[in-house]
Amino acid sequence: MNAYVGGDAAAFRALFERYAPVLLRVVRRNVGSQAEAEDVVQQAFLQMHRARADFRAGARLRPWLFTITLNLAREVHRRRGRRRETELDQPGAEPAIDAPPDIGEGDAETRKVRAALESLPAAQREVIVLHWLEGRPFPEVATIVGASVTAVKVRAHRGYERLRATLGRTRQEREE
Amino acid sequence: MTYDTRDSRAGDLAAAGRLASAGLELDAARNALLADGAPDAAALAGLFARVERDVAAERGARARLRALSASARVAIALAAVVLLVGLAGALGHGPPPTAQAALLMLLPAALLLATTVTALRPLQRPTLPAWRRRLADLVPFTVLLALCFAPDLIAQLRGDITVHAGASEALLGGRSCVVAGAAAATAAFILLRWLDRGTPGSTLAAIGAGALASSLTLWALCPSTAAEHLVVGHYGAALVFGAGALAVSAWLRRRVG
Repeated sequence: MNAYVGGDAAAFRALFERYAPVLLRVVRRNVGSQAEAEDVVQQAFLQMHRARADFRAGARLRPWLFTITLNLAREVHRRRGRRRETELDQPGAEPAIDAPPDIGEGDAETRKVRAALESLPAAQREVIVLHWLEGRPFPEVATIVGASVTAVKVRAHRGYERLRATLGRTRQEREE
Repeated sequence: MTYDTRDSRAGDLAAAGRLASAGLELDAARNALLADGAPDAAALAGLFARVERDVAAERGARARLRALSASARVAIALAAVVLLVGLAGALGHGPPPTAQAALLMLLPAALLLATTVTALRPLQRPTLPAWRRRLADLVPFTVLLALCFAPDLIAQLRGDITVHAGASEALLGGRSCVVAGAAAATAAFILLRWLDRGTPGSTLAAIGAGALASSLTLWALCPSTAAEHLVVGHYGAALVFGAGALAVSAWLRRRVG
């Protein structure tokens, strides 16, 4: 990032190659749609370019870039909520069914874990995705989502308990 | 093009380990999820092409303004409002530049600073909670309205005598203030939109900042302390501008999709 801020255009490609795959993975877990995830990541790199003057030399890029990306992902959820309200306001309109997230392929167990993850409240899902799937430590997760470490641990605990309850029920149903 | 898809697992996974006690193949599920989310090289190449196109389109004066640091952009916005208010003071019939007159402007000026910082809040900072955003959007209009009903305080701070106007005088005399105030607010709003990097939710904060800039400009420009005039003319300018900016923003959002 320091090289890019200093004017090295090739450094931008290197940054993209390094972070785009993990950002796509994280965002897709949050917004559920591959197309929207790509839009968010595209926006994130544009915002990173615009904000390069704000990047302090020697700072860690990962939390900085993750924060930008998750803020954009949250906007996707807000827009979905506004679209649903607008559709309901039309006279004679029937409640539109929000396009389900593309759960995708994979075996049944994987799909159930994915569905359980996507059923979590957004704040818990963000923390679980960063902590469980991406292996980020709690202090870094706290920096990215903009909460205290304690709040992040509480969200993680609740998220894991909900996943445990959901997936435990699923396994029990399967065994019966 | 090669992509780094290393799984860098670090940190405390004790909480996650409790899921394993439910008898689930947690690691297998996790690895399957990670593999499932891996994008293919063609998709990534296409995405990079789109990003390169976006970055290449960042040209011109607006792109240069947006690329400035967050603190520089806030400083430019505030300097522009100070110039606007100074110009209004030089051209208008507002109060003489005394310490008392400056005190009158203290609250809206402080609010303007806070609202400008919110409007230009960079994306790399965590989003404000929804309740704080709603509060930040409502406070400028609420405070401006409240100040309209303190004509005695305003007159005292300006060293004037409170004058009460009749309803017709307030309506007729307020028209020019509505026009001048709305113009000042629009100028401030446009500058803030130019400085904005596209942060979600910044439009409402920019509208609040525009209303405050309008108020400060009118107080430097207009000699009237009559409550009726302040409500119709000065607050009216903020409302007219706010309604217009919201309508245009909503229309643009629908047009862009």
